[in-house]
Amino acid sequence: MPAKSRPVDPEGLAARFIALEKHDSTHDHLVWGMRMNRDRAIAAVPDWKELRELASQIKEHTLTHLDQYLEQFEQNAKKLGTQVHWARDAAEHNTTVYDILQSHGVKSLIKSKSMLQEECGMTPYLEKRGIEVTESDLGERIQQLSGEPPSHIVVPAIHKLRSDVAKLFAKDLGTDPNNSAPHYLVEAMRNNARPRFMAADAGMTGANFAVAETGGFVVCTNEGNADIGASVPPLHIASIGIEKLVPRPRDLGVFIRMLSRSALGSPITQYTSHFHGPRKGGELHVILVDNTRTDLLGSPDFWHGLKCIRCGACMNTCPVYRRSGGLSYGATYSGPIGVILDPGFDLSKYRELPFHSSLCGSCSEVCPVKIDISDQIYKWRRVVAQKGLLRVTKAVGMSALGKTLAHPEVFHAGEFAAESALAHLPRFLLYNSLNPWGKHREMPAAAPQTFRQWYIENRRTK
Amino acid sequence: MTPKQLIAIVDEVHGILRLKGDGRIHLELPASWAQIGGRAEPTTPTSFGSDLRYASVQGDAHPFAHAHRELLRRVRGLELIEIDRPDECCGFGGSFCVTDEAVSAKMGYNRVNDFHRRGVEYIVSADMSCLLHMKGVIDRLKLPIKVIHVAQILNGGPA
Repeated sequence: MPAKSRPVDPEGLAARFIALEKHDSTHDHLVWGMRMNRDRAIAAVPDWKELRELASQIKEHTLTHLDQYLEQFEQNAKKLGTQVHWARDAAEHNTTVYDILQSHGVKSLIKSKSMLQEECGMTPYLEKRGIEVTESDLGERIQQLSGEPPSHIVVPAIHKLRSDVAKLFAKDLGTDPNNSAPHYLVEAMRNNARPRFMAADAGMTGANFAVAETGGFVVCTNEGNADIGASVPPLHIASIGIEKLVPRPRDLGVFIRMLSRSALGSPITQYTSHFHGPRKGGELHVILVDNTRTDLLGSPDFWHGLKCIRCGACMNTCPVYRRSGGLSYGATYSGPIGVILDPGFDLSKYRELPFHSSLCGSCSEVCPVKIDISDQIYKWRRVVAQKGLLRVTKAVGMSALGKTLAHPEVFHAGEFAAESALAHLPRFLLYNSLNPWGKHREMPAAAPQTFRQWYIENRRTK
Repeated sequence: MTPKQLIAIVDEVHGILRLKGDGRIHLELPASWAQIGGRAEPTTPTSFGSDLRYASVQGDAHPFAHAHRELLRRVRGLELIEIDRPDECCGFGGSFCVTDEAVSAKMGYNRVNDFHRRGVEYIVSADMSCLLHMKGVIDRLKLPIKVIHVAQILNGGPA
């Protein structure tokens, strides 16, 4: 049995982010803004409710017939001249990429944003083997230069202020550290990136959708960076999670209408590029990756998580995510979708994530493919408890609470003690480091009479 | 006000509220059946595990259609105030309020300040734990806001 990984501490990391007041309030403001834009965008689509239902059904159908759609995709992709590879896990994915790169003598690689490649830890793996990897999405490039993973699946550097980016670029691109004008910074990065695009030996992308009926796949970006990365170098490799399949091209009409509306509130991504086989004189490789997806598919409680189209709407609406910043989840996927996906990769490491939620349910409401995210968060809590991975304080507290609530006499004694304490104890005994509630909030006032006492006196009939 | 009336009214309301095919809540009640002066805003109950989930707050493009507004709209003398983030969670979340103290308190402060900015006098909810949490924040910040259960208003105003 592998050693249990140390758990990440989302509460502690979130508290540190909140202490950076300007970062926290700006992050909350910007991310909430995306949620509002999303609300406006979907309000303009009269059949949104039907679209959601349809999207959910298409995904459920595909996932329950995944074997046949994957084989259909492989056959059709091969007919287009695409070379298809299969990877059981992250390690197989990375060695497959490396083998392809090596056989083509690739020294430098330009890649667009891919959460799957993040999930596989591909960039550090390739860098260790002497391949220069450049992220071409602006936000991802900022994160790469910072040595940080993306903090949001759509807007990876959203937790940073403009002034942070100015300082970072000053160090790496030689810009003026005091000039944080967006056009200035973007132009500096553009000038830095352009020669890298031209010189790269290979381009890599992910994929948003893969179509079984055609063997083609779709990459959505707002910067066009995937297109240039896939079109300039002679070699294009795309990493595709097996859950990205849709049966027919017409299904794209459902998902593409929903993706960017849910993500940023725009009707469609700036670039929605369809790849059908290699271009003339080029090579196209597709790697179909499992990496725990089939485990999830076999789980009655959690397989719906595979419907996710990575729009980030759940993150934008999540009040906990907006205050915490994505990095506090310590995982590839942050926010509500991260809370239900990450424990599937490493339960011990991500055991605290399901508790980093107030279970308000907003994520399930906004999910365009109707994933029962908040219900799954609750179910992961149960899994953590059943596997004996609850933090000691939580396990003791929950067990005491369970016993108290199960025994009325214990409950009433506790109620009496609490009311007396609230009414009579001096402030320093009520408000101290043992009482996290009291750090920022007042304790409730003691009621002159509990409802139960009132009921016994006034309403009880023998 | 006696709890017997209070419970009766809530039961009656549960019976009458209906979510019709157009996704909106329909309620048939006498035009005015309770009275309270002041400016108030209902806070959204959390949708998770709540039997108050008559209509989707954020899903399916009915952002403000929820039971409380429909009920409170019919209360004479009550002005309903729109806040910036009507469906934001107050951050209580059960044990979350102590195990995730920093995030929970920040959510509570942001939520209460949203009401305060708009001059809300009463925060109305059917969820006692939302009210408990926001009261804790209101008292710490010494703000002139009262929390009140929706049934207290429907039963004729705060006792």
